This record gives sequence, structure tokens and C-alpha cells, in this order.
Amino acid sequence: MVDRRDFLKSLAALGGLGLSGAWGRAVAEALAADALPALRGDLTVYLGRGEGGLYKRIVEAIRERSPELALEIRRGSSSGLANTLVAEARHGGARADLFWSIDASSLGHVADEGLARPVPARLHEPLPEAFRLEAFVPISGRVRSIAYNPGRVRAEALPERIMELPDTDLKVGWAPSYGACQSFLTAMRLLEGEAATREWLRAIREQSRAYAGELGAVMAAAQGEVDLALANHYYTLRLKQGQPDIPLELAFTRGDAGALINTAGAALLSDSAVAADFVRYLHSREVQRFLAEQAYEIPLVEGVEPPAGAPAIARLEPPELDLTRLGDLQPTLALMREAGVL
Amino acid sequence: MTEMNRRVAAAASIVLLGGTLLPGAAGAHGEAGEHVAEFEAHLEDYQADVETLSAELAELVEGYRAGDGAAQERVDRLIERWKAVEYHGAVEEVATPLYSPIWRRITNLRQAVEDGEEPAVVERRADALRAALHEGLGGVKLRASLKEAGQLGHDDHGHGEAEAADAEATLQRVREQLDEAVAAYGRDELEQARSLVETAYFEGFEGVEGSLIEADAQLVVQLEEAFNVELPGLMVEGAPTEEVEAQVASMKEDLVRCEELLSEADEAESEVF
Repeated sequence: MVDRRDFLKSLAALGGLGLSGAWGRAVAEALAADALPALRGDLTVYLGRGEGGLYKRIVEAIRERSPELALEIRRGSSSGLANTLVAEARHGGARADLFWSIDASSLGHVADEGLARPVPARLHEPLPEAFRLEAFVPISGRVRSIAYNPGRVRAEALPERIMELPDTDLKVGWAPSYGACQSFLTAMRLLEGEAATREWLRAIREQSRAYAGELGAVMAAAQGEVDLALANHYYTLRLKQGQPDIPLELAFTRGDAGALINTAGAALLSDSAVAADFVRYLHSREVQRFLAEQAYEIPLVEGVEPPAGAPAIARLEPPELDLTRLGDLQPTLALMREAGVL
Repeated sequence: MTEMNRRVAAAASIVLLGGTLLPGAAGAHGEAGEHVAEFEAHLEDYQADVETLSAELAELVEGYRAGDGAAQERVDRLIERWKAVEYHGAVEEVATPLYSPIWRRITNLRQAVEDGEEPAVVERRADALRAALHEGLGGVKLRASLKEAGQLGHDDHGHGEAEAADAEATLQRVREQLDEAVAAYGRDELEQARSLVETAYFEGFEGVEGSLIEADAQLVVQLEEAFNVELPGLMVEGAPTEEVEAQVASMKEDLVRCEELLSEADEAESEVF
């Protein structure tokens, strides 16, 4: 087993290499937008609201450079639009060609209803093997992480497996009412089983403090209220961007739910060729770089660097899990209630 | 105009001024109907459609309370009616941001009926749907008044200044929803009040908090706690309305500060291509 300190050092040394290795290599690097075919014709996109309107800015930028594209956009919350799509399909046919959503569970919901068309092979080319899904095209990623205060906790004291966290005496900050946390627990339930997850939840309840949001949990780690926080990676990156001296570092567990990478993605809802080409723009170098720089999301294509201050994601070890299954939330919520954390 | 209609029309105006607007455009799939091109001339028709749908909702609730066993059928009929009325195309094309919430509430109502929920739950969901229908109508009327005043310009297609104002409009909508939550609380509609607070957070504030974290993380944490713990806590405890109002007033002040910070951040925006 690699010593955690060595592991973290190696991650730092390998930073910026892009995705490869453990996830399988992409067939091709991301293309510049100028190398992509011009977009022409009608296209209706349902756009799950995300990241303060950044997704909309991308869509509008594509519209600006595509004068022959008749683009209609409908915006709303990801879950709301997924429900709308399902309702429309049940009562007269879906009206959208493409659904770009911030979270995999809403895409999974749409896919479960049989609304998503299989992803054409050419859209898989810039993606590592692990992200070549049939139901939707992953666009950018968010990683579960351990945010810790290096002034209070040594890196080597952190567990390498999330299931080992209850074996430590570390005080945990988390936000169990948050969707991202519930997706992480859903992944744990699917990977480790209900009994193990129930036991983990009961143990963590005793050594944790719940916060209203994951940002609050991460700040609590920086301020020493807790030893570490379980949260998505970007809170730490954003905090460090605003406060470069804040005592926070990121660590990742290996091969389990604690290192889950959830993705924003796009589901094709019609056979429209322009919808598939539109997705290629979302994988372009420019859009992927914009998402990394502005939203701190992890680029999923080959050839684009991760956000400033991000860990060396090339060597992350996410679990093997079909992301569309994260939409199966109800059993997780039941377990959480049973364990008294919700 | 009833008090309810005034309230929802005001809420609609805020969403519409900042959302993605497609005034008078034919749908990509050509299903909206020709009336949409001159929607301002059809407001009475749309009003009648909403009244018809509201009447069907009332019948549905009444029948469900009486246990007539026809609720599922009535929901199906309501959905067919909703799809058929001209108002459907109008709100979809003219007041687009208010279209999805109607479908969502239809789904919620249908779910309650399918699950055999208590009549009070079905009634609340029917009320929420009715409010969404009126909100959509308010939005269409607002668009009509702007069109008549010649105030619909290119920005209404989602470009330029309208885009820059997106976060600002979202926060305005969040404040409006908080006001609606206080009003619902004052009417003893606890579930509706809490639902509005949740919606304001998850569909509003959470979407704009990203860049705020860099500017003032403590302010974001404060609002997260207020939305998710303090305000719902007061409501569940049955605190006096004045106390809930004071909490909301404090949150709205923080939201104004957020708007200022986001406005400063807008100036440093980078280009995609």
C-alpha cells in the first residue's frame, strides 16, 4: 500500500496532466471549437440551472458563434426540468432535443424513463473509458473530498477508505441534508450495501457535527470546529481563491464512495444531429477550460488542465459505479432517517 | 384582480424580467398555436382557460375529499385539458420560466393522488398548482403590457443585459418567494411556507452562491443556515409571525448585499470563446 504522504506528494507532482491512467485513456484529445462543424438548424435545449448562470453563458456563447442555429433554451432546476421532461413524455411527447443538467441523478431519472437516446461513439472519443456512458454524456466533474485543516490534522492521519473513518477519533463536519452528500451516501449504499452503510451512518452520527451546507462544514474545518469536512472539492478551491492563506487542504479516499466523481452531463433526447454536435462544443477545449476556471469543475476530456489549485485528478481513484444509479435516492433517505442523521 | 392574482403577477414579473424569454416565437416543434404571435390580444381567453382549470381542480379536490374514486381520472382529464388550452402555448412561449413549475406541480398533485395521500395534502398541492397557473397568467399579462408599451427589445431573447441581470433577477425572485413564504405562514399554511423557503434556496440562492464564496464566504454560510435551519426552525416551532418576518427581513438584507457582490463580480467576467 502506498503511504498516504507519498501518495499525496505524487498527486501534487502529477498535477495538471489531465485525465488518464486509472480511468482509461481517451481515444482523442479535446478539439478547439474552430475545428468543430458549424451548428445549423433547430435545437431545443433544456438547461438545468447551475453554477450561477455559467452554463447559460456557455449556451449563449455557442449561439453567438452559430448564426444558422435556431436555438431555444428552457431553464429551470435540474430536478424540475427532469420532471417536466417525464411529464411531457407521458402526456404527448418530449419537446427537447437535449437535456444538459448539473447532476447525474436528474439525467438518470430521464434515462430511467426511456427518454435518452444511446450516446453515439464519436461523443465518447475525448472521454476516458470510465465516462463513456450509454445514457448520457458526462461534461464536467465534481469530486467528493476530505477538506482538512493541516494545522490540526496530519495528512497521514486521514483514512484511505471512507469506511474506515469511524475507526478514527477525527471529528467530522458534514451536511447530510445536502443533495451532494446524499449522492455520496447513495454511492456508499450501492457499493458497500445497506447494512454497512447503516453502521457507518450510526457511527458517524456520534463523531460528527451537521451543518446547513457543505460550505459551512468546510469553513468549520478551517476554523477548527471540526477536524475535517466531507464535501465536494470546489468549496475548498473557491475558499482558497478568496482567502489564499486559509488553512485548508484536500485529500481523497481511494476506490470508494468517498472519492465519488459526480458529473454534469447531457442526455440526447432526439435523433437530432445538431444536438450531438452541440455536445461536441461542450467538450471543446474552450468550454472545458471555462468550466474549470469559472466553476472549478473538473474537465473530463483529455488535454485540458484541471482548475487552479485542484488536486492531480489524473491519479484519483473513483469507485466503479454507474452514475445513473445515483438517482435511486429513496432507500438512502430511509437509511439516513433510520440512523438518525436526517 | 384579486389579491392572489396581484401577488403572483408581481412574482411573475421578477422571474420574467430576468429569465429566458421567447416572446411571440413559434415553438421549435410548432405546437404553440398561432394565437401566441399576438398573445396580447388573447389575454381574456387565457384568463378563461385558467379559470376552467381552476374549476376542475376544485372539483378534483372536492371529489377526493368525498372519496368518489374518480380522482385519478380527474387528474388525467386535467392534464389533457392543460395540454389543450391556448393558455398552455402562451405560458410556454411567452412566459417560459413559469412553464416548468406548472408541470412540476401537476406531477406533485398526480403523485399525491396516486399515493392516496390525505385530502389535505391533495388540496395543498392543488392550491400550489392553482398558484402556478395564476403566476403564469400574470407573466403573460406582464409581457403583454411590455409589448404594448414597446419595451420588448433584443435583450428579451436572453442576450446582453438580460443575461448580466440573471443573477440579480434570481435573487429578486428569492426575496419574493421569502415574502410569499411569510404570507403562507401567516395563513397557517406551514407546508406551503416551508416548500417556498426550500424552493427559494435550492432553485434560487444555491445556483448563485458559487462566486459569492470567493467574495464573502461567511455571508454565504450565514444565508445557508438561515434558509436551511433558522427560518424553517421558526416555522416548525410555530413562532409568532412577527418573528418569522424579522428573520426574513434580515435574510433579505443579506441578499441585497449578495446582489452587490455579484454585480461587482459580473464586471470581471471572462469570455467562453
